[in-house]
Amino acid sequence: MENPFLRRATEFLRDDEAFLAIVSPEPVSFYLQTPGKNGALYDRLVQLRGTPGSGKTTLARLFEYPTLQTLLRNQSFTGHKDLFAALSACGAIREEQPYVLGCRLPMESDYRDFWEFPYPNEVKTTLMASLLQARTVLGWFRHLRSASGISPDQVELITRPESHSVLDTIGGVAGESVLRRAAEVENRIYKVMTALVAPPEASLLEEVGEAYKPFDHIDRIRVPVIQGSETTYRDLVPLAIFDDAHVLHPEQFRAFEHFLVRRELRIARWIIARFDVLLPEEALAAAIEDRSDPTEYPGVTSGRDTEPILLQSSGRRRKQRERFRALAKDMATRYLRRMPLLNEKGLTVLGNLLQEDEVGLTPGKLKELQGRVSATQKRLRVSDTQRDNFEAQVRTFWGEKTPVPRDVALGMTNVMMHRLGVRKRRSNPSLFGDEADESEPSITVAANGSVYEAALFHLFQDYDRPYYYGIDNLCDASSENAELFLRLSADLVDAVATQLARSKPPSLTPSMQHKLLRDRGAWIMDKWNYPQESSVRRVVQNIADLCLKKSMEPNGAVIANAFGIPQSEFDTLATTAPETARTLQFAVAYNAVTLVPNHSCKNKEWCLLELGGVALLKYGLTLKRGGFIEGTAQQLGEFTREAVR
Amino acid sequence: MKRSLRWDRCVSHRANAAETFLTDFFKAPRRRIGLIAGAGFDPRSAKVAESLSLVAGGRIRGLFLREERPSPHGNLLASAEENDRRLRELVPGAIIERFDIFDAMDNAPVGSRRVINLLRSRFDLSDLTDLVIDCSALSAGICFSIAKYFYEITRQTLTNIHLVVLDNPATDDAIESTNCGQPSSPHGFQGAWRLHEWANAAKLWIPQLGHGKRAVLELVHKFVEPHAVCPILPFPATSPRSADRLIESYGDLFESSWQVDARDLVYAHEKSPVDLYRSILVIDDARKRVFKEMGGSQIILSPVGSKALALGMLMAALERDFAVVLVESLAYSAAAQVLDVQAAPRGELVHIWLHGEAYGLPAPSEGAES
Repeated sequence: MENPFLRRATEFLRDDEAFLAIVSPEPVSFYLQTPGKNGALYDRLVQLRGTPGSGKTTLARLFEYPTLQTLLRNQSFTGHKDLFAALSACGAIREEQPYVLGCRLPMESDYRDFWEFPYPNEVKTTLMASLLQARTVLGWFRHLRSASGISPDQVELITRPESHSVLDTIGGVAGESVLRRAAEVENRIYKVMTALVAPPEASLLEEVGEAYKPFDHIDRIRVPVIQGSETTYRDLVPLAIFDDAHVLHPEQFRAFEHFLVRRELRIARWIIARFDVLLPEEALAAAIEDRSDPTEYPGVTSGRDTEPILLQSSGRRRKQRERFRALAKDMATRYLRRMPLLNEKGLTVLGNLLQEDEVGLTPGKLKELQGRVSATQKRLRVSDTQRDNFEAQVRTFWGEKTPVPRDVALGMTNVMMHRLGVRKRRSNPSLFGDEADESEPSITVAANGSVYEAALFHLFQDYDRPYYYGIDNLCDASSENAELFLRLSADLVDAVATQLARSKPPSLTPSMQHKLLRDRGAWIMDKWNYPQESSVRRVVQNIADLCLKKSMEPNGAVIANAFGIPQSEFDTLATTAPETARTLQFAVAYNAVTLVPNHSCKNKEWCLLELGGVALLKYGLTLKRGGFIEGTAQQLGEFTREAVR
Repeated sequence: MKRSLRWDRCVSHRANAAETFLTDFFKAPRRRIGLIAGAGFDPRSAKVAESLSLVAGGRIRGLFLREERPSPHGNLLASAEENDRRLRELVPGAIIERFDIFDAMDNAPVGSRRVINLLRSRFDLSDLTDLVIDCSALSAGICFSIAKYFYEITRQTLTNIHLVVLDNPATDDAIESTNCGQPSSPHGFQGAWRLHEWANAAKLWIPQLGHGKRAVLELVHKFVEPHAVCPILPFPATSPRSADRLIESYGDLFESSWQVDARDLVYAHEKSPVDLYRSILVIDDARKRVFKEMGGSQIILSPVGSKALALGMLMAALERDFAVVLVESLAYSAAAQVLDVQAAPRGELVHIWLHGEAYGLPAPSEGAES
């Protein structure tokens, strides 16, 4: 049986129906509803940025004209209603008709080549912009024909009043001639682009023809709408979506952005890119900003002239995590519906298939743990009264709904006794060791969330108690990346299908989930293959080693999954250690690390490098955020340099 | 109607026959030879230069290319330096040129364009009778662009172009690479498949399967978004299980995103690039007929496996202007014993006479299709 979780969302792109069935409306509402409602999506340059797999292309694909038409045709289908509502709220659909004529142009490959031409930058940018405009126009016509059967002769361009004298350059306003002109421009420029030896600049005019700038002139595209015997006309807002623009040279990217940001353009235009396109200092700055602002040109104001949208964990992190959990659960349900074996049995809620109870140690391991706690008590000279007090606190912390599991109670007591020991040593430094009064009343150790987390972590590391299980942990391990969530879920879903095939209960025990997730995480990390991957791998390995060592301290003071450097050192990293910054840029771009800037701790500002979910699974670290190892930029540089050696 | 193939009767040799050809052909004093080869870490870098210098010493003009990649490993650098020194010894007066495969600022794969600029400025064909392009130590994208450049500029002359490669799959497999993550076409092999006039064409992707190339091929598949996939498997092959092992490695892709069934597999003689060349053109002829009225057919090739078979793809792409898509390697690594020039096996020499006296000048109507 085919497992849809193993396929990337973009693999469904060719078939609109299949694509719509798996897309969740949540990111549309979250990221695009506000700018859609106030019109910012359609009247200025929109800059969408995110990591691979964060859903950039999926979002863009939703706004393409054929997708909107397919959605409108099938709006009564289960699961389409909320998508319809989300796109309507963004203004992409109005009066049950598409409002935009969207066309997505992947920018991989060809366009970067323009920057290799032996011409001045301005000429190179003009050539590229002309080709992109021609292809966008061709795309609009292609979509109208394929999705609505509207032929070019039924299309008319509505242009800006001041453009009338130069409309010949774009083929006029009649659809057929506009299409013909765009195809001619594409062919001419493509010939120049693919020529083994670029023609001399002086002959370019002859090769390419006169300037071609349809974006400067087009305002709306008028198409017929046939309702019964009546034909009305509708003016669509042309939308050009330039996907994967990070492949452009940084200067080329800026020049193209500059071209698109101009206020006189009436068409809607979006640029979608990963962080790779930015220089390290900009990429790192963008990754830590809630709203990136890379466009700084004279007279251009972010917010008024551009609409930056960051599809990346940043800002209010707890809210981001909660939002991603909701998105992931919805997405899982849509994917499970595509698996007949599960769908027929109504098993479409992934959370219900991932058991969260019946976690515990085997009797043998429990006995071993009891022995260890007793030994700790003896070694640290903790009185029975004090231990009873700790155990009572643990019961209070746990609550009365269910009895506290024995292994958790023992684990927490063990951590509390170690905390007491540390504090006693600190408050009574003595030549004779721990001779201080055991019942020191001023030293208090409370059973709280931190003790609980430390106990669970130690039980996992020392006694192999399942640690990674349940839908929320699965979501948290995905680093808020939809594609990673699907890849991590794939093995779990396969295991569920196997259980069903063997006539066993479908849900997976915590220990099964734990094993499958750890194996999958290690497998994904082993398959990492991207620029500077070996340096990134070494940085991750070093951070993980430090975190593990710290987290295993018996008092569980810090259960860490991050490395912190002073914020001031991070701010100058791109200039003081460019190679480290470059490595970090790719680590962030490929979700190996998440940056948490301006983290206050011990009266200092830190920038945390939090390990991504895959590394946390592989190295067995906590998914809970906050615990970090204090370090320096120099240490970070050493991690990187080791890899280069 | 069967169409004639440009290299249907191709002059090609392998192993001892190729070595004998090299000796007999180039020993004639009238032959003035240009040699273009890689001068990198590959232990095969200087082998062809060695053979040629024995029979044509003093008549060779060499241009050796060092492909520069970011942060190379120390052992690779040392090996490249040694090959550099050896090549200078073998071909006195040879030019050794370095060029970046990736742009220093954004890591974009730009090598195939930059090498053309280099050839234009640093290599003059005018007094040569023969040009030997040794692909053994050049990456596929680079040697494709070099071959196309010289093929185009010599089309109206009788200057001979010879493609040679020391085929040694064991060495190829032992050199590990990290891909740059960005599919691209070698310059000159962009094809026409992305043009509007071919927007409705049925796209067929013909990848050459190779061990350890799965990530690369997945990237290319995503980029090309083909309607059909016909993977090439080496058969007959030195190791008869070779094709089976590849099917095992790629089986899940065949069954999922690639949608390949047994009828889609193309078997090509592991040791015969010309066999692969003919197979590809037969496929193209058949598809052109079928899809003529439905938007046409476009074939996209991905030479990521054996270098000898890649020459077959090169010939097919030159003749029909097929697009070639691959993912350039950002970094290489290899164990010390792999780089040991003395210990490394020589491999079998493969020779293809691509253009020149053996074929005469092309008819005016004959040209690459687009």
